[in-house]
Amino acid sequence: MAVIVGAGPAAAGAGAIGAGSELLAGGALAGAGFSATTAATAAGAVGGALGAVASGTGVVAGAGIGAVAAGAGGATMGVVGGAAGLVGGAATAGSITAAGSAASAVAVGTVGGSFSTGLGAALVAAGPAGWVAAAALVACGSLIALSTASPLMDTKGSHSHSSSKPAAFKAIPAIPTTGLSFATILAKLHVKSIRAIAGLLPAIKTPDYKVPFGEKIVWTFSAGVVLVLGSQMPLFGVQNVGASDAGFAFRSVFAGNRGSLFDLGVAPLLASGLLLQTLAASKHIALDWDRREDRALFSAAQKLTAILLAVALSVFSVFIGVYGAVSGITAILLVAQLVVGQILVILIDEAMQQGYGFGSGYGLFIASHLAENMFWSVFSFASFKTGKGTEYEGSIIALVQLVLTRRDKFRALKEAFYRKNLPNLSTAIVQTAVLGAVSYLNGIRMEVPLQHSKMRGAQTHKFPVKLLYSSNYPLLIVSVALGLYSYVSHALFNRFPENMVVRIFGVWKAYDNIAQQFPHGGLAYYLSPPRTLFSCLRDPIQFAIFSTLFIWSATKLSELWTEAAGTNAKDVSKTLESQSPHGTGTGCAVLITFLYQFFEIIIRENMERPAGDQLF
Amino acid sequence: MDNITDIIDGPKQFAKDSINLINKCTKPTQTEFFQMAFAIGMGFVIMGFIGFFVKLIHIPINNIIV
Repeated sequence: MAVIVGAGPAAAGAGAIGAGSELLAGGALAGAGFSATTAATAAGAVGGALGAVASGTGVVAGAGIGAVAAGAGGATMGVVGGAAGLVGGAATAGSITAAGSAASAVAVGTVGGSFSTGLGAALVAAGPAGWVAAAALVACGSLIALSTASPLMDTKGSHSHSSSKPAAFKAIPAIPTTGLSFATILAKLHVKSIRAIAGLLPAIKTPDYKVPFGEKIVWTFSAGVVLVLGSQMPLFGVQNVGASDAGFAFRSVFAGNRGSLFDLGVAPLLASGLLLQTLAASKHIALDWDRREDRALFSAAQKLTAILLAVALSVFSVFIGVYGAVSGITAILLVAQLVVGQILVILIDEAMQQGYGFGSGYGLFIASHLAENMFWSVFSFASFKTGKGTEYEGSIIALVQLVLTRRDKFRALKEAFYRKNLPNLSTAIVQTAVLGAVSYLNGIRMEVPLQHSKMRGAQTHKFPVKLLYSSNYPLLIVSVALGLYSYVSHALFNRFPENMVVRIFGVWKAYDNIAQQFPHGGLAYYLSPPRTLFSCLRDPIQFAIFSTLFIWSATKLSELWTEAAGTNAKDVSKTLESQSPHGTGTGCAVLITFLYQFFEIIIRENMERPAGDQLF
Repeated sequence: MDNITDIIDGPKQFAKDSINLINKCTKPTQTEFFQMAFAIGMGFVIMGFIGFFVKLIHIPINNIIV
C-alpha cells in the first residue's frame, strides 16, 4: 500500500493518478464495452504480497498437480464423481508428494481421480439412491482430503516447521478495546472460534525447500489449468441450463462460469480477504503484523470467513432458484459441490502464495478467465440462428463468413464490426488496445533513489514504485461490493419478479437478444456502470449517480487505507471516469499485472542462476 | 465568484500535482515496452488458448452429461 516514500502531495497524486489512469484505461475501453471498474489488478499482485504477509502459515499443495490429473479425469466422467475425484486426488497426491516426486503425484492423482470419478459416475447413474451415495462420497472425499493426516496437509492449520499445537495460539494479544462495541464482541467471538477451528482448516504448508524455477512454472501452469477446467466442469443437479448468468458486474470481478464447479468464482476468497483486511486497516481488529501468531490467526480467520461465505452464497443461490427448481437431495448436493469447489480455489490460491507458484491464485483465475473470454469471443465457431440466418459467435470467424457469403461486402464488413447481439470486431480491437495501454501504464514507475547511510554517494539504489499499485484496494473493494450486490439482486429478481421490495433492489432485463440480463431499473440500475456509451447519453442521471457513488466510496476508502498505511498524504483521490459498459477493465488490469509480475519474477530468477545456466 | 474559484482550486492543484508526478515518473522506453508487451502478450495467448480449448472440449462433453 501507499509505500510511496517521502512525497506528500505526490503520494496523493500517485494515488489519484493511479486510480485515474486505470479508470481512463478502463474508460477508453468503455467505448467498446469495458466496465471502468477497478484495476484491482495490482491488487491481485500487491494483494498477493499483503496476503502472503497475512497468511504466514500453510501446508503444501499436493493438491496442485494431483488436482489437475483428477480434474482431467473428473471432467470426462461425472460431476459428483468429479468433485470427489478432485478431492480424493488431492489427498492421495498429498501423500505422494511427501515422497518428493511430483510425477508420482500426478500418476496417483490420476488413478485416484479416475477411480472415484468412475465410481461417482456409476452411482449417479443409479438414480436417487445413487445420488445419496454420491453425496456421501463427496462428503467423505472432502473430509478425507481436508483432514488427512498426511505430512503434506498439515491440518493444524498453522506454521510450517513445528507441528503446531493449539498452545501456540494462546499468546494472542488482547482483544481490541477500540472501535464499535459490536465489532469488539464480534472480534472476541471470532478469536475464540478461530482458535477452536483453526486446527481443522485445511492449509498449505510453506515449502521447506526453495522451489526451483521450472517447478514453479509447472505448479502455476497446473493451477491455471485446474482453475479453467473447474470453470467448465458442470454441476450436477442444475435444472435450468440455459438461463442467464449472475450479472456482468459479478463475473468481471470474480470470474467463474454459471453452472460450473467454480460458479462462485473468487467471490468468497476475495470478499473475505478484503473484508478482514479493511477491518484490520481500520483498527477494528487489533493485529500486530510483526507477530507470527497474529498473522497465523488472521489468515486462519480469513480462510474461515471465506468458507463461511462460500457456504452462505451457495445456500442462497441454490434455494433462491439460480439453478432452477431443485429440491431435497439435489439441493444439498449442489451446495456441497459449490463449497468443495470454493475450498479448492482457496487452497490453490494459498499454494501459489506460499511459494509454489508465481503470483496469487485469484489473480491467475481472473486473468485466465478474461483471456479465455477474449479468445472465445474472437475464435468461437458456435453458430446461432438469428433473423439474418446463421451467425457465428467468434468475431474473426464471423468476419470471414460474412464477407464471403454476403453480396453487399460493405454491409458485411459493417456488421462484422458493429453487430450487437454477438461479439464484434471493434470490441476485440479495443480490448487489445486497452491491454496495450494498461501494459504501458503498468511500466510507469517512480524510481526513488535510496542511499545507504554507510555508503556515501557511491551507489544509489533506485527503488521503483509502480503507479498502478497505489490505489487498487479501494476500487477493488467497491467493485467487490457492487458485484455481490448485483448477483444477489439478479437472483432475487429471477425468483420474485413481481415483488415490490425486490423491484426496488433491482429490475433486470435482457437486451439485444442476448441471454445475458442487465439491470434495467431499481437500485441495481444505479449501482452498475451504463451498458453502452449510448446509455450514458440517454440516461445521464444513471451515469452521474453511478460515477459519483463509485468515486465517493473509492475516495473514502482510500483515505482509510492511506491512513492505515501510515502515510499522511492528503488523499485527494478524485478519479477521472469516463464510463463503462460491460466488459472487463478490471479483468484487463488483473491480467496485465499478473502477467507482468510473472515476467518480473522470471527475469529476477534468471539473474539469480549461475552465469552458465541462464535462460537468456 | 470567490466560491467558484475556491471550488476550482482543489482540482486545479490536483491536476498540477498529477502532471508533475507523471513527468517525474520514469516511463517505459520503446524497447522496454515491447519486451513487456511481448511477454504479456505471450502469457495472454497461452492462457487464452488453454481456456479456449478447454471450453471447446467441454461443449460436447457438457451436452452429453447435462
